[in-house]
Amino acid sequence: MTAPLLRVICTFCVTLLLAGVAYAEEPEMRSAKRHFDRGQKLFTLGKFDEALDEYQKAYDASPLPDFLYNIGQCHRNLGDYEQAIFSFKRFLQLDPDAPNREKVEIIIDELEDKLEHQGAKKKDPPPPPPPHAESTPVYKKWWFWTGIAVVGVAGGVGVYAVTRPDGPPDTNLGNIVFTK
Amino acid sequence: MSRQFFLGCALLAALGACPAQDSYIIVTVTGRAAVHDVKTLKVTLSNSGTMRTDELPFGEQPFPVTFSVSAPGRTGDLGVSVEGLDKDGLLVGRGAATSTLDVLTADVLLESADFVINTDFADDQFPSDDYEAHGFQVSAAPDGSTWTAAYRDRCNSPCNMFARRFDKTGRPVQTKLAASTNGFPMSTTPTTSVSTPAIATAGNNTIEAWDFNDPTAMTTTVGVACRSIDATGQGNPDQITVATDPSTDVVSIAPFGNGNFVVAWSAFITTGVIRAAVVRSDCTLLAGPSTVSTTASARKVSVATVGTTVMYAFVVDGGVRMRFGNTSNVFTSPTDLQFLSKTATENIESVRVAPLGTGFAVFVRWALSASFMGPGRIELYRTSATGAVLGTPVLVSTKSGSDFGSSEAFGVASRSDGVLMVTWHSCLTNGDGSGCGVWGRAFRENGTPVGDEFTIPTTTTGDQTNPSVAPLGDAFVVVWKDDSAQAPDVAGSAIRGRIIYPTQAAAGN
Repeated sequence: MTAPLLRVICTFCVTLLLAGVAYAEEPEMRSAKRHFDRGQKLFTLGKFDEALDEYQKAYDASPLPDFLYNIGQCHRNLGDYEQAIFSFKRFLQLDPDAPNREKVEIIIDELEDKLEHQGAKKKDPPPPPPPHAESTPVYKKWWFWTGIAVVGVAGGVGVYAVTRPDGPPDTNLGNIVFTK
Repeated sequence: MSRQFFLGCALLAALGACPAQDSYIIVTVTGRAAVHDVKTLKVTLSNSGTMRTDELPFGEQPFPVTFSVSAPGRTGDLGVSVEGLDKDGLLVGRGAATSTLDVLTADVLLESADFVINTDFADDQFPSDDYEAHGFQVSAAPDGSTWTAAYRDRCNSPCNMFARRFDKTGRPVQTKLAASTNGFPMSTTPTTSVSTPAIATAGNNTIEAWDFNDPTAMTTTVGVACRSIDATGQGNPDQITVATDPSTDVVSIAPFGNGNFVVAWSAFITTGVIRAAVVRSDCTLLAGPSTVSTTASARKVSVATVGTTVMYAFVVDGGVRMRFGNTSNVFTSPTDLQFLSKTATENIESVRVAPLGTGFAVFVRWALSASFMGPGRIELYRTSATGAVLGTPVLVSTKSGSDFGSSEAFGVASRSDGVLMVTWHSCLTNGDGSGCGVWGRAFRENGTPVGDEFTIPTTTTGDQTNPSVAPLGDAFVVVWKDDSAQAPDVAGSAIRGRIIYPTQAAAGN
């Protein structure tokens, strides 16, 4: 089988798989989109506590890792650095290949510095519950990374569905599409 | 096909073939108080060498407003430039931000644009066309709530002096003299085309004074004329004669805290002299006129007050001399005193003074004595209330002019918090790329600059010259002569103004 043909087949498989997931979760996705849009608007207006509530509801409706980034930003703006660090670390754990990973790590470093500067007792965020209690480290399991990849892809597509052009954020003046 | 193979393919396919995540940047646009009447936002996006411009209807909503940007397939920096346009498509505010495409939000602050002050557009209108008298043509109420620009038109004698009043955001204010928000004449007896107005505000009253020459009796009816307007824009019935000196020129006014004013001017009485009087809020004489200068060939006076003290600064033989007085026009020294002397290579051509804390700020403009031309240097000297220099001189600019006109006068003002603004024009090689341009630079009370010098007009076509500046609470207003012939005044020169904020000065935009 040639590589291009293999790729086409695989793409078809993924599309079918995610389409099934999206179809099955459609009400949740709609709810997530609604809360996400509200959160974006509130965040823009600087109402971070209300935005946090909406992002959390979006995450409840559809636990996409990207929402954790937004939740972390709210905590950060509210001055709750410990919670912000927790959310950002959790985000990176669930989406280790996030394109903004480097930026998030910088933010985490900054927040930890601020915590130290404040003299607050720095608490490490509680580790995420291990998916399996096995002696072999979970990150050495093949299925872990594959699963993360699929979750990441599903998450990416989920966010894409939440924010795609048929649902731009609620703004006064609309959306500008700056095509390449 | 094994499970591992399927999932591996899924990963590869997803990374290679699925579309990139399409996210949105929410851009929040806010505007300075002086940005108003926006009907359209013109948004220009730039990324990787490409640009896109959209016009977004603004409607009647207040700032802040938001719009979103999606840029599928794009990465890296995103430039966002926003212009606010009024119903006629004229620029009323502009701002820009640079962001990256992986952030959620961006903010753009619209700074105010310049606007036309005069309401009669035929032929020329300007604050001053006397190269010695620029810088005295705008004043503001002590609380900065309103400001008034003085100007005249291109008259061929007889001529009138005019004014127009605005609020601190640059909206025109209704006055009783105009019975509208338009400009209005201040003179009630015509003068000649050599007259140039000066203006100042104390308490609720503003006075405008000018070197007066009756065109019907130029050799006998001359001197300094003055007229006041109150907070409602109601004027005294007639202009009042402050002095009948011959060959008057370059009038400068400063307010006292008690509501009176000191008016100073140049005259020729066997030699060039500086004369001054103290007038009440209705321009009637309280004290004087009397002669300030005691050294021959004195010219180009500038006055400022701190408390009950007046500083008179003027040019004599390429240097600056001073004298101090009080609210009754009584001088504190028997003669004028040397403040700065010319050097072997440089003369001082112009001096401008402003109150600064408990003392004064003295700005001087140097030029090469061999040519009286630039590029020249403007310096700031801080002094005590008695004229003792504090600290070392501060360099304002080395690009204050490269032609004769720009070698001369300029405008200065200080706010109650000690922030100073100096504004000047410069031409030729030091112009703005389209003829002459107007520049400004702000300083803190201790003389440290607030950013670099920056271009003040947003309309830079053609020449912009002859600026004046006044304090507006947290901002300054600058007015100047504009030869852009841009709408709404496309006939000859106009007077334009712009509200400038200190952070704007620091940012240089």
